[in-house]
Amino acid sequence: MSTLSSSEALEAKQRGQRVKATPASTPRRATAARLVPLLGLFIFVMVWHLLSLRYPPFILPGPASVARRFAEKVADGSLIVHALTTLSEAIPGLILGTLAAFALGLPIAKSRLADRLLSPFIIASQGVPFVAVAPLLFIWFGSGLTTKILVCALIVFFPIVINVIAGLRSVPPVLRDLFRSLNATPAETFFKLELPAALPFIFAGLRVGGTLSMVGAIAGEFLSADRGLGFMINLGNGLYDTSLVIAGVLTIVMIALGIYGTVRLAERALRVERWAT
Amino acid sequence: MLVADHISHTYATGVEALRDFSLRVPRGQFVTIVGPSGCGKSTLLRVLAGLIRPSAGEVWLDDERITQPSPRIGLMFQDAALLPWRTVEQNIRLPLELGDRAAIASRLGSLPESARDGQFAIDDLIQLVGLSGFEQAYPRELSGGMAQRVSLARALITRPPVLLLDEPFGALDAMTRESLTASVESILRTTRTTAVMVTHSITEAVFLADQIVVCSPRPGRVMGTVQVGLPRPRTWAMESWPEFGALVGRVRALLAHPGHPATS
Repeated sequence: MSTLSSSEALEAKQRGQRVKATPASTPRRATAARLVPLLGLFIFVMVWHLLSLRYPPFILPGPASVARRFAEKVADGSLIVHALTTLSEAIPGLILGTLAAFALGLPIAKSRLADRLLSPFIIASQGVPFVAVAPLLFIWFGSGLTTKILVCALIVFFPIVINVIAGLRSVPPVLRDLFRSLNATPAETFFKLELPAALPFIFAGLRVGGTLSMVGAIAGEFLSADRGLGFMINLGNGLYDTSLVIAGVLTIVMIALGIYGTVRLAERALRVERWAT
Repeated sequence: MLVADHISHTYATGVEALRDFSLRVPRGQFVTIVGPSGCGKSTLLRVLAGLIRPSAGEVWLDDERITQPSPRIGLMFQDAALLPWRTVEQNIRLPLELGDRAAIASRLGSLPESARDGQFAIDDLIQLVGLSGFEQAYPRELSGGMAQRVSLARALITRPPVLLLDEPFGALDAMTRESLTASVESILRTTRTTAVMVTHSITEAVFLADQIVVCSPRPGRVMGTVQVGLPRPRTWAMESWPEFGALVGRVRALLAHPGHPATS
């Protein structure tokens, strides 16, 4: 019968404390740390306000006038409709782009042949200016929802596929040896080793892709739409309603932050922080 | 009996790692393999584990020819190789979830009633390797020595008759190393496991072994073997015994003045 030597137990104890101690050393400092982003926001709004005093409202409206326009648009229900329209393009686009990233990323990570065959296209795809190519999609698929979802999916695809490949390849060789020595089947190796090992990477890709999905949806709406935040911004531009344009941009930013936050929540629910060594 | 019969191995890169290496490990014996860095020790262990098919020669465990990993052979690496998203207990349980579960279950089924229940076996094992109270800890919360204890428990959970150890204490500090070496000696004696361990440390080799195999620089060949007659259980107090010192001296002599003329 063996027990832990005292030096080992002590070391473990110290490690345990260190792990727990890192996130927030004192409550007061933690509160202060949480206030810093708010302070940044406050400074931003103040600078904006001061700048807006020097220009006419159709060039740079102040925060108050943008807030008023925002409230009007919320009150008459149109902002909600536009936002939901844009989301109905961005979210399916994000899902489609993610599925495509897995469909191509898995074979590339697992097989040399697929890597040689497909990787050049994936790298090249990053060089394609999708906003410029989007008109092609309108020719092929019409100006409806499908096209906007596709624009989204194309923009979201790259950061996710790169991370899926990097994640699946990040498995340490010794863990592969371990699974081989335990006679694991390919499916067991995938679900119990490769996929969990890749999760931190996949979530990093989803965080970037999630925010980019809004960019894709807006780009689609700029080209052709009768609804959506992109359409609303275009409309405001045409009418020199600069307050409306800025209100639209801020709405997009808030939704993008919301998507980012949702991905973070999913990451926390899966407790991906355990991976960190 | 674990037998390596005239094993030679040359990697695809042209590196000749092993030349005509033979080894016989009677059931329940502890054999340590010492030799200079890059003498093909790790290659030999991977061949014994069925992870590499040698260019020539055969490995036999009793009447089973080993050509691929067998559930009858457990493996411990230099790195603890734990899954960071699993707790200590879940890591130890891993071998029960993979591969030929029927083969594992049938062998576990042949054990006495008390050991058949999986959960009981795990609790027992966690206590045996000295990890009680750390069942729900994650690998990042463990010290290097404790991580290797988890790795040992994981290797033993399927009760393999043979355990292969590839310098499992290489990355640990001296004190942790001593305590783990003593634990391994007592645990493998309790479980009557046949063991082959590769190590750089001559004292460790003497402390653990019934038989020490000294191998030459690449390509690895057997330079000589030393029988260790020290009584078991072993303790570190034996390190000051004259017999212990004599054994260390014989291993050193074999390493310094190989019995065969060097070919390279």
